[in-house]
Amino acid sequence: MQLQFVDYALIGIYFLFVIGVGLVAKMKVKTAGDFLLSGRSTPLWIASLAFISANLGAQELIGMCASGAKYGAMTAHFYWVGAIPAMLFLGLFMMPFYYGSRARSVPEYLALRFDEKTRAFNALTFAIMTVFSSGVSLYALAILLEALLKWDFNLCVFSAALIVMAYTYVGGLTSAIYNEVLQFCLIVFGIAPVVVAGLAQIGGWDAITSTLPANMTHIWAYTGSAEANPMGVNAGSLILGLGFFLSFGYWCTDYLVIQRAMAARSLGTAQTTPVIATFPKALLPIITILPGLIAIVLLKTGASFAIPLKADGRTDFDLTLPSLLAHYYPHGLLGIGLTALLASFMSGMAGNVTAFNSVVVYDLYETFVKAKASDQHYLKVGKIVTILGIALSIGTAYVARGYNNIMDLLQLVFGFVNAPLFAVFLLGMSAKRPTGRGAFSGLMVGTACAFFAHGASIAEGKGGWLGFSLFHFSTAMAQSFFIAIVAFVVCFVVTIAVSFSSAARPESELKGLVYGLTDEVSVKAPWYKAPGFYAIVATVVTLILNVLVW
Amino acid sequence: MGQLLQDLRFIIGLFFLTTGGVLTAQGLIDGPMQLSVANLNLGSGLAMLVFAVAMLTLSVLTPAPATGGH
Repeated sequence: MQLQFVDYALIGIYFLFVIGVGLVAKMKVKTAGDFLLSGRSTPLWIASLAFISANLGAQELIGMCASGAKYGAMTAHFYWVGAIPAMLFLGLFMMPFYYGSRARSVPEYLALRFDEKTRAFNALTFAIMTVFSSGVSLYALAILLEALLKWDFNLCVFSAALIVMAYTYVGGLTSAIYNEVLQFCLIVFGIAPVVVAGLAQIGGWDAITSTLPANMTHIWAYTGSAEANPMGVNAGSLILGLGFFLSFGYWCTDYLVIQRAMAARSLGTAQTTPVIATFPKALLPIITILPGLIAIVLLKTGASFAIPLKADGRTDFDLTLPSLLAHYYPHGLLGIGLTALLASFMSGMAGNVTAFNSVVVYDLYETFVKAKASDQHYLKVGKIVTILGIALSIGTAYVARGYNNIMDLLQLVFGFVNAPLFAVFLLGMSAKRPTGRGAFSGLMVGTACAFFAHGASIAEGKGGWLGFSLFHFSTAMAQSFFIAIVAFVVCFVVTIAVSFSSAARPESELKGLVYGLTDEVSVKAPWYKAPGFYAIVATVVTLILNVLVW
Repeated sequence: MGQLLQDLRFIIGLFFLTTGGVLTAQGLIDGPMQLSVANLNLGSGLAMLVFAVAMLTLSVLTPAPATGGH
C-alpha cells in the first residue's frame, strides 16, 4: 500500500486538530479534579459518545471485523447480548451508587463500601491492566503500519505515544474525552464507505445470505448446539457467559468506560450516558462486523480481493479491514480510512492512560503515599503520572513485540479480572451483609480460580499450561465464557461465605452505598427525558435487530 | 470567537469542513462529476461537508454555556 501527498495531508490535518483539542481543553484545567475527572461537567451527548469511543479501540475495530469474517453475523452478539443489557443495567441501577456516593473512581467506591485493601487490590490490578492494554494498542498500531506501509516500528511507537501524551498531558481527561468524540465521528466517516462500496459491488445483503452458509448469516438460529455454528457456543453459554458474566463484568466495573459517565455534570446525565450510548452501540456492527462478511463474499466470488496469509498459511483475519480499505479506497479517502484506524488506536490508548492517571493518583498515591496534600500537588502528580503511563505503555509495546504469547496470556487473564469484580459489586450494592474481608477473599480466590481454569482447559491450542486439561473447548471464545462463569460463581460464593464469618459494618456507614439504605434518587425530568424511557426504546430497538437476523 | 473555539461541535465542524473539502476537491480532480460509489472521494467528501455545516450551524445558533464543556 502506497500513500500519496493527499493521504499524508489528511493524516497531518487530523494530528493538528488532535493537538488543538488538547490546547482547548487546557483552558478548562485549573484543578486536579479538572485534569483527572474533567471537573464533572461533561454534557450528555459528549459523555455518551466518549463512553462508546473509549471502548472503540483498534482491537475492537480490527478484531470485530476479523471475527465477522471468521464467525459471521453471530459476532453481533458482542454488541446486542454482550454490551447493551449491561450498559442499561449500569445506567439504571449502578450509576446512582457510583455517582451518588461521590466516589471519584470505581476503586474508591470499593473503599467506601468495603475497605482499603479491596480498593488497593482493584486499583493495582486495574492500573496494570490499563498499562498493558495501552501498550498492546501501541504495539498493534506499530505492527499494522509496519506491515501495511513499511513504516519503521520504533518511529510508529514513539510518534503515536508522543501525540497521545501531548494532548492528555495538557488537557487531561477533558482532552481525552473531546478527542474520543472527534475520533468516533472520524471512525464512522472513515469506515462507512467500505460498507457502501462493498454492498454496492457484491449486490447487497441478499448476496451475502445467498453466498455464505446459513450459520454465518443468522445469529440465533444455529445456537441450539455448539457444533452447529462457527463460534462453537450454544445459546445457554452465550447468554450466561457473554451476556451476563463477561459483559456485566466489563461494562459495570471497568473504570475506563465508567469514568466517562462519572465525568457527567449531574446524576441524571451520568445515568443517561450509558443508556444513550446503547443507540450508537446497537448500530456499530454495520461498520465493524458487516465489512468482515463482505470480505468473505468477495473471497468466495473470486473478486480481485485477497486477505494476506499468516506465516503458517492460515488467513490473517486481523488484516481484513486494512485489506478492504486498500481494495476500495482511492487516495484521499485512503488517508481518511487510515486516520480512522490511527484514531481508534489512539483513542484506546488515551482512554487507558487517563483512567490509569485517576486511579494511580486518587487510589494509590493519595491513599497510600501522601494524603491531604494541596490540590495543585495532585495536579502536578497527575501530569507526572501521565508521562509515566505513556512511558510504561511504550515499554509494554516492546515487551509485546518480543513475547507475543505472553501478551496473549496476559490479555486473556486480565479479561477474567472483571467477572469476579462484578460479583463483589453486585453483592456490595444489593445487600448490606457482605463485608470487606468477604469481598477481598472473594476477589482473590475468584481471580485465582479463573487463572487455574485457564490452565486446566484447552481451546485452539491455548490454555492447559498446568500440564493437564480437564476441559476441552472447540473455540477460545467458548473457553473464555466458561472461565468467566467459574470466576464469578467462585467469587460470589466465597464472598458470601467469608462475609458471614466476619462482623458486618453498621448500617449508618453504608447509607448511599447499598440498595435499601439509600434514598431513592428521582431525576426530575419529564418522562421522555428519563433514562428509563430511553432504556425501553433501546431494548425494543435491540430486540428488532435480533429478529432481523435471527 | 473564543467561546466558539471551546465548543466541541464547532471544532468537529471545522475538522470535517477541512477534510471534507480536501476529499471533495480530490474527488473532482479524480474523475466523473456524478455522485456515485465509483467516486468515493466525492461522495464521502460531500457527506462530511453536510455534517460539518450541520455542526457549525448548531454551534452558532445554540451557543454552549460559558462553563459546562460543550
